[in-house]
Amino acid sequence: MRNNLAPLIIALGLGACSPQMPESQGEDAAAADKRSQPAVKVDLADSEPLDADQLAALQASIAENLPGVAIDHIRSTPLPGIFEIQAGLNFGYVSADGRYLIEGDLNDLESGVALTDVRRRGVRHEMLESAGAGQSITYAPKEPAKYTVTVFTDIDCGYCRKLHEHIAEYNDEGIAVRYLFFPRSGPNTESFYKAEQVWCAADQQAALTKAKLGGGYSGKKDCSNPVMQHLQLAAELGIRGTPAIFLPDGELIPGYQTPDQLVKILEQHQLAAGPG
Amino acid sequence: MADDAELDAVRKKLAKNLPEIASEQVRRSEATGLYEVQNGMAIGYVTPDGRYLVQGDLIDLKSREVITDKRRNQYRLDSIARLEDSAIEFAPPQEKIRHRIHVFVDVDCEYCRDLHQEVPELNQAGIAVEYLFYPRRGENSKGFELAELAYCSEDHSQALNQMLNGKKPKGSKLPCDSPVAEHLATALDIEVRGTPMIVLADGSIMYGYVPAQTLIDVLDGNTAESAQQD
Repeated sequence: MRNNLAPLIIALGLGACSPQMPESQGEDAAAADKRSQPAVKVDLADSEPLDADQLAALQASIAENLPGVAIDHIRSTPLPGIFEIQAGLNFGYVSADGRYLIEGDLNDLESGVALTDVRRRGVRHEMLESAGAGQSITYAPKEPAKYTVTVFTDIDCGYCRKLHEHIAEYNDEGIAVRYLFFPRSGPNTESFYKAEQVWCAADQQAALTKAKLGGGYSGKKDCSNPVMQHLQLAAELGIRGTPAIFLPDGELIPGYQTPDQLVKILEQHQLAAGPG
Repeated sequence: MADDAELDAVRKKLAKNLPEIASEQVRRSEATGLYEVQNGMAIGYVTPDGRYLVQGDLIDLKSREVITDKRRNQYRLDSIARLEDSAIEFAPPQEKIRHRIHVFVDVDCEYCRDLHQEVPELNQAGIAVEYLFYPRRGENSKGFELAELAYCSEDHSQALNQMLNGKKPKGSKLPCDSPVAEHLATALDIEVRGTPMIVLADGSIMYGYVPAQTLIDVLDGNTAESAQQD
């Protein structure tokens, strides 16, 4: 249900008995937010038999057939005559005339690599990087970190507190924890203000620890702060709960992981990524 | 003939790369120049060299038609056909039947009971209703037991009718041989996601309680939606 390029998904009728809650579709909003970005990046292989006119026709056709979807990338694919289109974290594959769309993920059956997923992780990674240094509260080991994870946190979340209780152990394992805020209750709520207060503290690390584990922190919240940007980023990334842990390669691990578990996951990922 | 050779080559390659796909489930997709592969409700598109797969739905953006859905509709119909003998039917006299629908129900589902209240109206309009069971909480649920109860009586329709009206079926006693496990397995295989789920003659589906008149209009092609198609 991740790919919502075309609003054609059959939803359960309202008056139906469901075995589970229908999935919500949080990414439409993110796609809508991107509408204001006009530039489409184009990456075509040299071998691509598509000239400038054909490319323009393809873009026009996509714009006509997928109104309201802000395409930010068009790329060549290993599929003959098929192009990858990207809107935020959503991907699809269109025919050269822009008429047919395959809404799904591309896989290389021979190498076993989930190509679209690799791309999606790359995009997440870029989004997290651009949220960037200086915009997070980081607990780093004394030695240079082996891994840096980005954790979306809510000061009023039990499992986030649990994670933070072990913060020294993560550091001892060589993991730097870079916190971004995702007050799940949204803007103009207590949790949101608490995040702002922590950000505005002179010693952010101490304030965050106090807020999570030391019975609360209160201070001024009227400094310029990135909490709203963090919240928007969380929405764009499709995060639904906290803690949400992003590995260095952009893979999302939802929920609390003990230091031991997290090290194992990180080691496995490094192996899977291979040398280089 | 060149096409046939290519198809053979893709099938050979896929026997290795995607062994779960039966070779007759590999077809050329005219729209994309790719090959469509199907394993039940899961459908994907592979390159002629059998190396790359996009798993997902093919959509004609011009007509807004989900081409892949046609395959799923057919798969649904084929699957349901195998349950035909054990469906519990509520139908008008043979000569009055104009349409036939299949409905996956859970006896333990409020909306299924609501829908059942309108079955007489549907029958009146020439619509035969064939019930199949999807006890959505699985084998050890109340819904599963109630479905079995319908088969554990002399008159299956009568017993089901009583239960869908909130009554205990008279003279019905567990255990007995019933096809409910088979219905459930089929429902899961064709990815029924809630009840009631109505399957129309072309294999397309509607979820939830649908008022009788709406259903009659859909089946007779009198809806705004169908009016827009030519």
